Amino acid sequence: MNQKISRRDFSKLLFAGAAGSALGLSALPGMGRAADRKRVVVVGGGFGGATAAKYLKKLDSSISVTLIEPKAVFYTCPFSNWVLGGLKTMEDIAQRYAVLKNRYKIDVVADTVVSIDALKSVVKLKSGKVFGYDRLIVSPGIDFSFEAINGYSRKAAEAQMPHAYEAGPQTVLLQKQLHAMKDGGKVIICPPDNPFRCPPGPYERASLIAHYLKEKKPKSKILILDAKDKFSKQGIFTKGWEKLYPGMIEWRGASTGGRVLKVDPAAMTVTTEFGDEKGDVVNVIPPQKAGKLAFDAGLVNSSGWCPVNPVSFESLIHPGVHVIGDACMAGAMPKSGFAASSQGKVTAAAIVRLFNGEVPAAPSLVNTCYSLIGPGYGVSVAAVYKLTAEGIVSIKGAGGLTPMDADDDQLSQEATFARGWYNNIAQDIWG
Amino acid sequence: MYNVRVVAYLELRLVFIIYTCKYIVQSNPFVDGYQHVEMEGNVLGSVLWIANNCLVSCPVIFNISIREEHLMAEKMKLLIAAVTVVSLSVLAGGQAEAAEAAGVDPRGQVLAFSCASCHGTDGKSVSIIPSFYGKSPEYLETALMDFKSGKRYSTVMMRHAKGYTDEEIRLIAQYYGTVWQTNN
Ligand SMILES: Cc1cc2nc3c(=O)[nH]c(=O)nc-3n(C[C@H](O)[C@H](O)[C@H](O)COP(=O)(O)OP(=O)(O)OC[C@H]3O[C@@H](n4cnc5c(N)ncnc54)[C@H](O)[C@@H]3O)c2cc1C
Repeated sequence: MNQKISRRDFSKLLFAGAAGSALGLSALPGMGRAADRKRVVVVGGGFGGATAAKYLKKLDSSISVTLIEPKAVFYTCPFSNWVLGGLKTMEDIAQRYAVLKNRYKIDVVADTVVSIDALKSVVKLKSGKVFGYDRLIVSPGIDFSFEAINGYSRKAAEAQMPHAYEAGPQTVLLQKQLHAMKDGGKVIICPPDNPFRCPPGPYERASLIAHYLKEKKPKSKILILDAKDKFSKQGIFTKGWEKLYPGMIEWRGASTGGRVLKVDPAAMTVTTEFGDEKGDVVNVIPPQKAGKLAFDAGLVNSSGWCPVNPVSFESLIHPGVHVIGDACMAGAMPKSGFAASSQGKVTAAAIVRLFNGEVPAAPSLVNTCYSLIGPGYGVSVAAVYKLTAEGIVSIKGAGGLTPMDADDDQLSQEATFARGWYNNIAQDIWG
Repeated sequence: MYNVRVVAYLELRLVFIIYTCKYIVQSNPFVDGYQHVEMEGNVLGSVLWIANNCLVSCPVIFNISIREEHLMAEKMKLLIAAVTVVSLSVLAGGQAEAAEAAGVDPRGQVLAFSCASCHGTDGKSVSIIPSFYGKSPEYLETALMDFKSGKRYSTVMMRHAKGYTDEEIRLIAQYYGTVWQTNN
């Protein structure tokens, strides 16, 4: 649904705003119901959406918050690689909505939003239900460009070559294939080009699959066929692989035979510029774009992601609609759960200020991504961001990677803190 | 205190104006059919006016007006209408800002929220990561300043603390040093 706004509608919108402002309310949208409770609808109960919903209630419990999410159980991508490594179970990464519902009094609706009418300020659900809002927060995550890889498809992902880049049945399928593989087998992982969700994700995955293989199937090998010539935390990953899994993981960059030209799911082969590779397990992670709803609602620009105002994450296309998480364009911030949650908090705080006719505070955004290379071997990348004329940039001199010369103590502490991080962020979002 | 907030607000506004103008000038889809020269003359001036007075929604208004209006005159009318909306709302906003007395500092709150992703909501950790709950503002400020200077070792806090000014550290310490006294 690409919003088409006629001149008459537009003037209406403006004058509704002018009247509201004269009464001392904030500008657009959702004007004219001063006495009513303010209503915020949040779409998506993942890292961005669930955080925004909880923090809105925390900041102002009088706001009516509706969270729309079709899944009763949300399996987090963070730590799904740990499941593949045999260090966690699916239940360990399952998050539910009972606390948000009961303690925070958020109206959690198990449904899917099918359309957004930004002019009328309403969303329509699959069930036919309609919800009006004063402000809408959209955190739909990603969608996959299956067609970008010759021979690949949603069907192939569900049958032979899982992407496992949305946790849930895809994680379980990849795990089953790893369990069924013979000792001496070959696992192929094909990471996409930037930008994509969780830049260190495929390499943490390779590490933890290697951990599983080393314990159970030590003659096996992992081949990474990459669409890029360098990757996140490359130095520290490579060092960790040499130390923990010598000779087990081979990485090929795009220009040295890593670029995937096509796949054949039936034959379990991957074709590169340098020839065919046959795998026993093939994990294809296709290029990504903003979640489908962002496209249907016309929130994306030609890049396939959603441009937003970096103060409040309000869409630069549709007023009153805020886009956060992987789907939005947040300058230097990576597409991570931590970043999505950080954006959810900034957006919730900005919306509360706007409801009160106040200017939002300057945003403060942070990211920390832990990656586990082995059970007692953790590394991290951190950044603190600020808003400048270039948009959101990371503050120079702060953040950065685990040092290359980190000793065993630091690496083992980081592994411990990675576990601590998961428990605390899960509690901060869903608990 | 009030001055700090006003300065922060002005800085934010300045940054936002430049960001908005750059975005609008760069996103050709919205300005197809219009010359950049024109953009830099009248229209950019108006954008500046609008952005200068409103942090939210106005770039959106502007984008819509450009997409929908094919006559310069019409567009200018809309811009003027938008400017009216904006100046009224800023007046309202300004009053609210002045009325904001004691209470929680909004900037401190936004700064502090980031920490909860590792240290738990309100600094109440449920894991091995240290809790802030029950700690005093002085304790927290000293800890953060020591991480920043490198006097105190930490795997990741030394990297984070360098991202904040001393004043921001004070605001964060103030938030977590008091939030547990007000929230159960
Ligand atoms: C293997 C892997 C490891 C990762 N590890 C980490 C890590 O260690 N740390 C980290 O910070 N990040 C990590 N990430 C990244 C993290 O998972 C994402 O960045 C994060 O989930 C983004 O949050 P989001 O809110 O944008 O989307 P999501 O968390 O994906 O949530 C989107 C939600 O929206 C719902 N939804 C979509 N469309 C609709 C609709 N139309 N109506 C209603 N609901 C809808 C979906 O059901 C979903 O629940 C990892 C990712 C992967 C794949």
